[in-house]
Amino acid sequence: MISDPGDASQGPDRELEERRAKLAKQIAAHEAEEEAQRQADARATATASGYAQAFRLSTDFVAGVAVGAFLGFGFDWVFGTTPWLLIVFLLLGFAAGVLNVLRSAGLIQQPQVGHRPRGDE
Amino acid sequence: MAVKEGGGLDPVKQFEVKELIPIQIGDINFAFTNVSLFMFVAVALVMLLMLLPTSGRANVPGRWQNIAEMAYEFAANMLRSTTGPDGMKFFPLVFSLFMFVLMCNLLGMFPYFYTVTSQIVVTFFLAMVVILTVIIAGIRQHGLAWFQVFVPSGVPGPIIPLVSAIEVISFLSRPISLSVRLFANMLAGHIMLKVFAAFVVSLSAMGALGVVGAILPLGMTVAITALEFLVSALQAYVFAVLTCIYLNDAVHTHH
Amino acid sequence: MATALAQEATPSLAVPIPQTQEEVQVPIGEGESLFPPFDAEAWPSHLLWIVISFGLLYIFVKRVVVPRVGGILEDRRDRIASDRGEASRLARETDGVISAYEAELAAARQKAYSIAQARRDEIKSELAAKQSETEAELNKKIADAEVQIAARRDAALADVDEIAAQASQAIVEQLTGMSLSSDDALSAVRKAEAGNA
Repeated sequence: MISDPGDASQGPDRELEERRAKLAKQIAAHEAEEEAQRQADARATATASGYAQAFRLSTDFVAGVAVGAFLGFGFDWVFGTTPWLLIVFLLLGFAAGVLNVLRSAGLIQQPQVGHRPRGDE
Repeated sequence: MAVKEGGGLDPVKQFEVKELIPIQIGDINFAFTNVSLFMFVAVALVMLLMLLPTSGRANVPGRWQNIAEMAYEFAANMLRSTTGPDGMKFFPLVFSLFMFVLMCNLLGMFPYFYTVTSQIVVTFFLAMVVILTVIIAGIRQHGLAWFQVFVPSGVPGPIIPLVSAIEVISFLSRPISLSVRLFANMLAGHIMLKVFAAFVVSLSAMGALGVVGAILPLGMTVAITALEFLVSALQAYVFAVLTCIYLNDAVHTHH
Repeated sequence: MATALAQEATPSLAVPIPQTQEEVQVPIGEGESLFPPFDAEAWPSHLLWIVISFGLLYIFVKRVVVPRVGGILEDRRDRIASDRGEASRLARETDGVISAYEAELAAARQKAYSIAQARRDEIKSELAAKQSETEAELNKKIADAEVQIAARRDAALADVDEIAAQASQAIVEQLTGMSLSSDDALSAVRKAEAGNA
């Protein structure tokens, strides 16, 4: 009389218990997987942006000098002051190139009006 | 060496522009060339990649839909992590640029296909699109105050013109840097590839000894091809990431 | 086909045995276009077609790709979130049902136990009552029997005295020839019995 309901519930009870445990494990595994994916993504992005930085450094300096030279040459041509503006702008271009490189390397902030740090979200 | 071979071995010949449909408007030649053709091929491929696999709007993606979604998410994450949610309005531009450059670069890896991004005008056009978007978005958002980016705060009065000039040159160098980087990488990579391939062909044409001697350059060609695939993808990424960084300046110049 | 734009590069095909260096330099020598990417004559064409093709791509991305792929991804995110919410809600519900079931089961067990206990107690007391009743009956019977036995024994003992007296009377008569009254004999027997005792 006492043991009857116990016996009847033993089978389904255990099965249910197992299924619930499995479900909980699956949910936990899913969450862990998502977290791992997020971290892997972050790592991949970091690596890729490292390459990006390297490629930036290679041309940013030259581009600064080139723009300086081009502007100097153009102003000289317009104002007829032949070598002088070219020299001045070449120097400015050199400075701009250095600035570009320092910015690419993250040593100097991007130009901004306020003091808001870059990349804050 | 035969004439045919000699023509095919010229490392510069692959960049030759051929008119397919001559179009002349006034004095200017707007012919539809092989370069134009491959621009449209790249655009069509991007459209197919994004359109076909997603037509089912399946919740569980197939392989191709997965690729399309991965590309989308990749660009979206790149933009979001650089500019924050404010910058997401530029997503169509960033995604178009990324996919277009990537597709052009990869198409260029196939023999007899034209590398559109090895044309400096093309890369310069794309860079100008980015810079003009930055300027227009910046002015629209902040008005003329946006030009204060050229006047760094905390600089003593007398040298402001000097610093501003440097800042302006630095800003102007951005599209140059952006376009020259992409153009030079694609051009140099493809020339190098062709030179080594030509070396292999001419060596093996010299007979048995030449065939043995060609093994090393052949290996180099294979290695450079692999490297070129990497560079193709990386340059597309660099272009897109720098676009994001520049756009961030337009969005986040708050007072 | 290959006309104006390609003219400068095509001659390389015609050079019979090209010496790579010179071959590249031939167009430079001709002065018009040194290198296809720097051939400014082709630029208007490139610009026109890049504007058209890239513009097409941009419009396509903006009108079709972003709504569609973005929609798919958003749908999926929502779906997963809601599915997971549903799963955890169901899990909570299951927990509740199970604990309720367990409580009920425990109560039922308790009840069953108490019923059994009560029945057992009842049976036990009934049993005890019956036992004591039987015992009392038995005791009564034993007592009755003892009384009877005592009476019988007394009677038997009395008979023994009588028999002993008669025997002793007969013995005395045989031995001495004197007759002994029965009362004397009886008292003598009683005396002897008391002495023996």
